[in-house]
Amino acid sequence: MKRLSPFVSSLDRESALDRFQREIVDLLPRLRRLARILARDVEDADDLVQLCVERALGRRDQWQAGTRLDSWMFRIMKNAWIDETRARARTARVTEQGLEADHVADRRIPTMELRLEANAAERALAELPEDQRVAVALVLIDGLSYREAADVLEVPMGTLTSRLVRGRMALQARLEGAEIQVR
Amino acid sequence: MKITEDLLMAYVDGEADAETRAAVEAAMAADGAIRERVEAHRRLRGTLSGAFGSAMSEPAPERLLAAVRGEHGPSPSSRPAEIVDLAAVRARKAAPKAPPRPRRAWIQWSALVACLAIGVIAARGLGSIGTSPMIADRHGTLVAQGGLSQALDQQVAGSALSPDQAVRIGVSFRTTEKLYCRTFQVVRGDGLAGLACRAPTGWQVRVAAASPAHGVGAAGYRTAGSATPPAVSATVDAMIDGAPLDAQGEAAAKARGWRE
Repeated sequence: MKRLSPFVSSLDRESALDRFQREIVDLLPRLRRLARILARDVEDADDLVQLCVERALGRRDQWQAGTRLDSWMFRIMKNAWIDETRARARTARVTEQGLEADHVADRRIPTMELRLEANAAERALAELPEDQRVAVALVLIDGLSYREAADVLEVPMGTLTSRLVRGRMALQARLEGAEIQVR
Repeated sequence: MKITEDLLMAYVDGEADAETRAAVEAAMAADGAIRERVEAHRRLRGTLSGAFGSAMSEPAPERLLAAVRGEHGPSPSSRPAEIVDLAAVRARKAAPKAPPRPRRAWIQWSALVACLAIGVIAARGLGSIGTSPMIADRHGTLVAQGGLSQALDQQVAGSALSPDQAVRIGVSFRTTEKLYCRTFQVVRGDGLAGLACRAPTGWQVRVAAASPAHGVGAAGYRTAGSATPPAVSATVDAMIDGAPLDAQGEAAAKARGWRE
């Protein structure tokens, strides 16, 4: 008997996904974007997404239907990343953290000027301390509300807003060369 | 109301309450500098919104879709422990690119890497050399047998391999729970590296990872520089009590049958 082509069997499996899994598939782009901001490396980022998806599937009984899957998975990713950075610190593994800006920026952005702007933003973002970087990513890039972002990070609202203020000030200073004073 | 920078940001983010919004708008009307600050915050939002857009437009790679389908390891309900760290993900990602092996075997390797507390894994023919498996599943515990068990009992750590040996012992140590453990590398077949600890019933394999025997020379033994997989070193780090055993300590432990 002739075997099904991988393409056909992959479609078969796709349709066998349950609702929880389909919702994760829909979330993959946002998970990958957040992971790139955290890991600052495309390959590491997808490793992080994979780990996050595996953990989410392993704990799906802890997720309450009707609550937000995106916040829940972002939180899993944030914790996975904390575990990873601790493991790296423990083994003192040397990693190449250089951000390949052009590699990461969207090649579909139409004009060179806009692309350069996005590149500059990505580079400036990569230089922020991690806590500010994630706060900026969740609110300004992913569009979560302050409350939702604070829940993902498991910090009080005041902590989140102060990270946002400091992160933005640093970004504006880098991107516009402006010296900004907090009043 | 004092117009602070964080109020302006909250205003731009749509997070300000009605009272604050009114105050900010009044201040903007009265003060060009404040208008300029609000504009700067809007510009930053706009600039950032396009950042990392490639992640949103690229199709997700197949390995992530496979992860959603739960194809990377045992089904979640039977999974006894979580993936250790990204190193484990990487190890599993890297290994299938090496000589292709049947899918069934691959699932077993990934399960081995995934599970520090090794649970129920249908393990048949794990680490087989020829026809005799080196690791067997005994009621959910993975135990060394055959050549691997023999090597763990007998071989000196770090010694060079003779051509007829398939297992190299890396390091011997005692754990904080007063067990003797040894790292090993199977340098034949698919290649496998791991950590086994001596229990009353035999050597229990605590962690193992695929370790394709790239460094194996023509004579069949592994050349220098073969690295211990990160998942294995991390487990050693987590379990070891002090330093690895020296030659004398190792000989004494061996004489006692690797028991207390």
